[in-house]
Amino acid sequence: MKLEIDELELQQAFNSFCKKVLRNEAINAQVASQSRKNTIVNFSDLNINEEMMAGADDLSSGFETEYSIQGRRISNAQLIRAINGLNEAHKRIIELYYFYEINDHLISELMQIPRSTVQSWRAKALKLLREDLEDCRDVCNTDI
Amino acid sequence: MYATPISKQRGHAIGLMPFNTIISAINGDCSAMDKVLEHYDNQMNYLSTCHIRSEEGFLIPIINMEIKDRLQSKLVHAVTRFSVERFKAFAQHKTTRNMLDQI
Repeated sequence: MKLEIDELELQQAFNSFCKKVLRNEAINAQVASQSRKNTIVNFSDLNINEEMMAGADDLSSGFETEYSIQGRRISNAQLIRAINGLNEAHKRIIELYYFYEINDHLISELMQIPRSTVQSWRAKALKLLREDLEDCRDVCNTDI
Repeated sequence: MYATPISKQRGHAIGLMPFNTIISAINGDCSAMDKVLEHYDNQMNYLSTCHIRSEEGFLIPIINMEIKDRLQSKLVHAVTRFSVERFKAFAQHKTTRNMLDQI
């Protein structure tokens, strides 16, 4: 049985479909703009102190920066030397995870190794780094 | 007083797009799509209106063009997605159900 399309019914269905789509999209847009309003702050809403902080120089970009962690002082150069001392795979994992902020799953896809391996290699690399930096610190202290 | 109930007003096509325009818009015709956009322009204006408060305290309605553009692109997407086959299937389902009800 071939059914003839009822023109009027199709027109009505199309009309209600379009209206429904528009209404839902308007709600989506409203929700999106609301969430944007919650996360983004205008410069005009900031007070002077916060504005100064926003325009401050990024101190960590300097090469001669020192980090103080748990009473130790580690310079950027020491950190770079320690990272360069690792083998290639460990270095790449550290680079991708901490500098590019990619998660383990993506790293495993990029390097074509299982995800659990990424995790264990990262843990191992961190351990090696820690040992290396602790040695460094001893050397530094003896120098002083 | 003579009045017909709204549910029995069949053949009432006020505010609806012409059938041929709908079919050509679904098939991706540009001028038909323009007509569809023009037809729903008022609806989009209504949905994208937001009110800002003036210095005197009055609410002034303005059209948020960001939302309106979003609505327009969504409508174009949706119109191309509308399938006559699904409508046909739905209509067939409805007629068979009516027949069963009558039996």
